[in-house]
Amino acid sequence: MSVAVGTIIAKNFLPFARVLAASLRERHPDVPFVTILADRPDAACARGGEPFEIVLLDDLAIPDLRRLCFGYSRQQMSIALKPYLLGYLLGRFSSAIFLDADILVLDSLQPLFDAARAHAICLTPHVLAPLSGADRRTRDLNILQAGVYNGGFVGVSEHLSARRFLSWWADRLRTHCRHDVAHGMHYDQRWLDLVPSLFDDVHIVRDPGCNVAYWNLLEREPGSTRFFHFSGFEPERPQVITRYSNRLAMEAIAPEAAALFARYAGRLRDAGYFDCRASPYAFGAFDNGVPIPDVARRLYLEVNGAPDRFGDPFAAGGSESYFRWLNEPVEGSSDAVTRLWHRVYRGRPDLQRAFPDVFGADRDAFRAWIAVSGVKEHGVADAFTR
Amino acid sequence: MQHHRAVATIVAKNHLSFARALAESFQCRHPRVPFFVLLADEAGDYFDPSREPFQVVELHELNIPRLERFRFHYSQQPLTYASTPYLLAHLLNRGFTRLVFVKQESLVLGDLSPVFEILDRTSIVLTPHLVGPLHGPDRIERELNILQSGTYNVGMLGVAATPVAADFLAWWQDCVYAHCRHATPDGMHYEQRWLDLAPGLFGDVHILRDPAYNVGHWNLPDRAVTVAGDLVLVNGEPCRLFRFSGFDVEHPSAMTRYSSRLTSDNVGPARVVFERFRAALERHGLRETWTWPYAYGAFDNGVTVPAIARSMFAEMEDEAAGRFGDPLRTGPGSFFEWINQGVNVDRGNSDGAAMLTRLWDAVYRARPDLQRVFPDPSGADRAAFLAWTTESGLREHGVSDCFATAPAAGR
Repeated sequence: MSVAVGTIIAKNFLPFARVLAASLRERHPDVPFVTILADRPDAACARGGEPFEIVLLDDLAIPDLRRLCFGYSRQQMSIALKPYLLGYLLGRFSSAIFLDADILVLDSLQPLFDAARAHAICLTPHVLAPLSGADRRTRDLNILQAGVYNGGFVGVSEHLSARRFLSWWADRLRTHCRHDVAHGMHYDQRWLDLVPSLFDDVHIVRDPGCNVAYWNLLEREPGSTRFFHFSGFEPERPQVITRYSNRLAMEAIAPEAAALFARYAGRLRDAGYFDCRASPYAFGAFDNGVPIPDVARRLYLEVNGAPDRFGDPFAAGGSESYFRWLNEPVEGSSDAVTRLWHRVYRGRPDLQRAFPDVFGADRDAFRAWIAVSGVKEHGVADAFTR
Repeated sequence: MQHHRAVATIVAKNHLSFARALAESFQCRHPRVPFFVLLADEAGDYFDPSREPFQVVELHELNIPRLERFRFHYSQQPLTYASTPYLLAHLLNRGFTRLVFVKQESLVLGDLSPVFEILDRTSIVLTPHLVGPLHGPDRIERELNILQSGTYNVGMLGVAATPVAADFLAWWQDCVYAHCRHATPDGMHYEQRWLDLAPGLFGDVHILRDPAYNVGHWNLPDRAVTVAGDLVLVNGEPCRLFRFSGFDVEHPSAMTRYSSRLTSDNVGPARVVFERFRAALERHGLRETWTWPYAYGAFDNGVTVPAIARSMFAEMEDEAAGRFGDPLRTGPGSFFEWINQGVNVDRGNSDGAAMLTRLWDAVYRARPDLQRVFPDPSGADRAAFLAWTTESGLREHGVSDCFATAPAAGR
């Protein structure tokens, strides 16, 4: 019976994996730690260059890898690969645990290894008891919006049920790994809400030492943490607990917890955080150097048959390229409104109200909005504003 | 130890035929288990609760804080939803130790003993909408629909008389007392989405993954329903609980008003079960009960309570709301009078023009589109906004003419 732990990073997150790996090694020197590099290796980040195993994208059996690399942003990509990582590990080990890279192991994970071995699937809920306090309903609703179980931890073992879960999760995340709360999506995480009802032998880990993070910090006993999840913590702003919420101030939490944040910031710094944070992302730009806007990624996933139609979506040249297609006028528009900007328009009721006749009377005003605000709001390069 | 089993549902009186049909379907399989119906309404002179084939519980018997406020806050259907945890706690207090709640639009088609037996070992039983991944081109859209409305279906759930179940019910009451709405982007879907949290919060929860329960539009035709005489089978096993969520007897071929996916053409043999449900409702007086008015739907002067008035009252602090007493009352010092008063009444209304009342001010504040069109509703845009209230507002908000504030065009 063997167990392995894995995480997924792009190059800019390499220091997180280093710190997580070291913290795991301190408690479990014999448990293999595997990192998927959802990026292209280079001199600073290569297989064999770290005291843990680095697995490259090509080593995973991902059916339409290029579509995924183009269709998702760097953050989405690291998230959508979780089922592939776990499937890969189950090919080599009898049970496997995914941990988010921004987790720190502080105590023995043996109970989790045991649970992962004993059950097909293990999940950790964000909260383990009814919340109290005036903001309890708001906090409950935040969790209902984001998902009951935290995607920072998932355990599986070599049961048929786990294999079924992983192929289901991979299928849903191929196209629906995004933040769209109104439609029931929060990246990979809300999908997990369905798992205890869809699959056999799902174990809900209700150990208060697991997945301690900003969403449950005040409810958990300081000093009895197995693993801490620094979700949304940025070493540039070491006094801010998380960028996702301003509910908790560093001064308001237990001194040992505050000291933990300071220690973590130090470990990340020592592991090269400030050297790596600007590492370029392999799938961040077209081959002409123009950054890929998120809306172009989204639209690519929406266009039927896009992979066959456009060939390599990263290739900007050629008359059939996706890049060129984005820059062509959308059907119904004489010129002026390109497919890319029309997709922006379709996704924003506020723009539809402001520019109701976008192909006619409001065309110039919409173009002016693109030049003044649109490019900034959507992170779109000049190459898309002809 | 002797366990005291009971089953319960909740209706307003225009759905009394649903309760009768459900009770009958349950009683023919479990004649000795008491069946309770919470009337989230008042019987008035329309029917005699003591002559119904089940035990009627009334809202005032439940431990609902500030009941007059609670029953005004919610309109008819949400009130039945929000009352669920209060009813279950009430029946536990009455000494029942194994309780199964079944939602009104359902028929019991088989033995429910397995659920009661699970409650011998577990505090809470939840039934998911789906018990396995969906297939087909619409699989993702359908699963997302479930994620929006909640993993577990409140069509059936069970609680045992344990401290964990008591904690669960207290927590669920705390959630739905003020937050039993349809607001998917906020993470709410009436009383139901809250249940997604229950397995994490309470531990002692059994997720009943048996396709014999909660057969409904969301898992049809994926579950293979066959009908052999009186026997309804699901995937070859006896069906125990069938749900008719959103079924409209006037449009029986639509199967449910919540989705156009399922129709009488693709539902298969399950169509017979829907037909039997329709027949049972007819037999139990649907045509008569359907017309009975909801006791909390109108002020005591007969004017229908607008939805916006319910939200306005819900948002008031306890003390401010308390001075009105029962919000359905009209007359001097009433909530009704207050919402019909002009905003900034202290400034007077010297120019003799129509007033912007509190009710329309609340509508305005709830609607960004109106704020854009009428940026200055108490100044330059007042006349135009007040004209809108009469020409469109009354209709859009289903508000009685007695809340009109401006002379209608051409009157």
